[in-house]
Amino acid sequence: MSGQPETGSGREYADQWLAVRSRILNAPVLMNGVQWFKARKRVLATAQAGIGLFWMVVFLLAPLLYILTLSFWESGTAGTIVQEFTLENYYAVLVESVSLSSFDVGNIFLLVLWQSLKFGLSVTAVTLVLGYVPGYFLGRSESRWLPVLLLLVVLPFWVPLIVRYYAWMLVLGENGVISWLSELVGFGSQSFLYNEIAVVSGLVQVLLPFMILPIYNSVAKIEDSLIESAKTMGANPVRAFYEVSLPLSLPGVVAGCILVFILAVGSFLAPALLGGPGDQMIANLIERTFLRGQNWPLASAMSIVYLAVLFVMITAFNRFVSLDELFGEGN
Amino acid sequence: MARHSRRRFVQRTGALSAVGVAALSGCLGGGDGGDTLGLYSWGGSTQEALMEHIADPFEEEYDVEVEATSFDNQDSMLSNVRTSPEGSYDIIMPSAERTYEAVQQDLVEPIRTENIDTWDNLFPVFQDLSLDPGDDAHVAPLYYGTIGMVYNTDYVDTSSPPSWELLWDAEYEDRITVQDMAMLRVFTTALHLGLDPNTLESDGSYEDGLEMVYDAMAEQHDLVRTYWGSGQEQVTQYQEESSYVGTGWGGRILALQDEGYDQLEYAIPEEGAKGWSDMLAIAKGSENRELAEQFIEFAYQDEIIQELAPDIGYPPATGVETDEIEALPDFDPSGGEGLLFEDPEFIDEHEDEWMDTFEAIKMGEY
Repeated sequence: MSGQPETGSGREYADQWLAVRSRILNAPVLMNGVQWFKARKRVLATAQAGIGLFWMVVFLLAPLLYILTLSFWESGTAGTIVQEFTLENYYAVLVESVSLSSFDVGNIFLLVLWQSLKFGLSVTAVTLVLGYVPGYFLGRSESRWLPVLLLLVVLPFWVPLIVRYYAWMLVLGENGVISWLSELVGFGSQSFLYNEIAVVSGLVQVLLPFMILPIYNSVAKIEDSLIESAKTMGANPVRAFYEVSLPLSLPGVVAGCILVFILAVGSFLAPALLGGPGDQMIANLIERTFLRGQNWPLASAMSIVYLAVLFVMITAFNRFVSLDELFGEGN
Repeated sequence: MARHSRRRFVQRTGALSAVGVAALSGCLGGGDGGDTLGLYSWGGSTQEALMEHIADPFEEEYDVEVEATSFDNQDSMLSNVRTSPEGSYDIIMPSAERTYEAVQQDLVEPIRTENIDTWDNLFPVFQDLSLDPGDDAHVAPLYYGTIGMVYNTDYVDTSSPPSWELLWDAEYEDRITVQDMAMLRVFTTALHLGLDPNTLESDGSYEDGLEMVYDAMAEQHDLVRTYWGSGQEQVTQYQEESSYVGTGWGGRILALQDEGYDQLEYAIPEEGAKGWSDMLAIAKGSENRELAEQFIEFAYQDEIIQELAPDIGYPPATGVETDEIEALPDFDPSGGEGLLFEDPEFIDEHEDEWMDTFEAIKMGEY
């Protein structure tokens, strides 16, 4: 058929096009194809799951197994690896302490791990305080602007992480906004960089959406009628929130806290860029052992121990607030 | 010693873990004489200078193609070469600090100096480098420098020549920046204390000397504003006047002076400074070994290296001299004899412990 319509009118052209389209869509070949796929939906689903699984196995499990293997090998001179089974690396990570004749420093890995966990907890606490209200507000909001507001929450994800940390360095730096404000108030210009507060504030700024979104999600699911009936029964808004909304929003809070905690404890860029000399975190230590130390077996043992600690913590958390119930709900 | 199979295992799984393998086209005929040379070098302005002054004219003269990839620090370079299949690169660029590891980890081929007519242009120090293990040469030094002192003359009045003492001067509290590397902290602190940085012995005792070094590092830590990691961080510290005095690289400070930061000065303190050098080396399993040797031979020609070195900001490792070269901050009139190189075996033996203690010092646990 010639693609050109007889007349120039757009209306006729559109009609013709619709006719062609329905003919194409209803063509026996295509219909059969669709039927065939519908009949084999299960096969398709399996295939898709297979691709995902394959991806996980190749790019997550295989490297992890490699690291596990490495962690039981000896390290030779100048960063070489000797394929002899040893528990030395785990001993070095968990037990050995750095000591000289006159003083005892303690075990560096455990020191840094403890410091990372503390960082993780403070970041999680601050993020929760700052993130709950916006999350709750968005979840209860019926505004036309809701999609725009949600877009604002995820907007930072479009900017690469390293750029955001550098921007944060400019905010906190000697010639930055905060320094300018402090001069205005009469405290003189000063830098707020290279300390614990800079690391925590940088992480909070980056991880806030991970707290807001799960909270928004669970608050949005709360039925209005529940809150209304609480008010009908004579509860003031504060009590209605405390008795109804707050408990029902907890799944989101828990999910947000876990996400933020894991991401904060494992953060690498924030301490590297914003932290001072003493603000080492576990990812920095592992990277340093791996690259600068050229000690792959030891760095691998550190990684495995770190994974195990996180796993144990989350499992313990799971015992307290049954995660399965939280994530297992299908609505 | 399952060395060979270890490398294979590391490479296979390394490839699986995908650490960015650059599959460079070698000549499939095998043997020497391919027509593409894979050059894995420092990035940024160094790479630009290498391309402009060596690679481009080399391509012209030999009718070959140089494929350039770059790294931004020695540690990731080592890891990348280690996890890439043999033959991925022809020429890599280890620095003094990683030559020992590159050789021990079997990442480089010996250089057949008899194939390099210009080899004798090198200063004797660089022909038989103390930190290159074994009898063979594995590295071909291009240019050298020191890890010296940077100071801002607007804030620091320095007697001439300056001393490392400044980095322990409470007057500059929170205005001092030094490099974030345990090995360098130990080395430089030893120089400051008047110890031999390659034995640390105080009255014949390594332990006593080390303890003096640690104490001084902890003392300095209280004055340090930040420990810089990359060259860029170093530049930012001095450029924005976050720090007034610290350690640094002459070439970077030269570049800053050229941009108009006249208040910044670079000096080698009277107690001495650690020397370094950037080198070319032929990657293990290179299918273009002969072409790589020709590349080194080509680079050592006076007319090539005398243009390259000043552009990068460091004096060349060969005997060529021009006014421009003699004016460089790191220029050593004795032909490299004055450079203090580290003893890699000594460092390899103790570095883990130094790193741990430095970590503890930084965390205020010392």
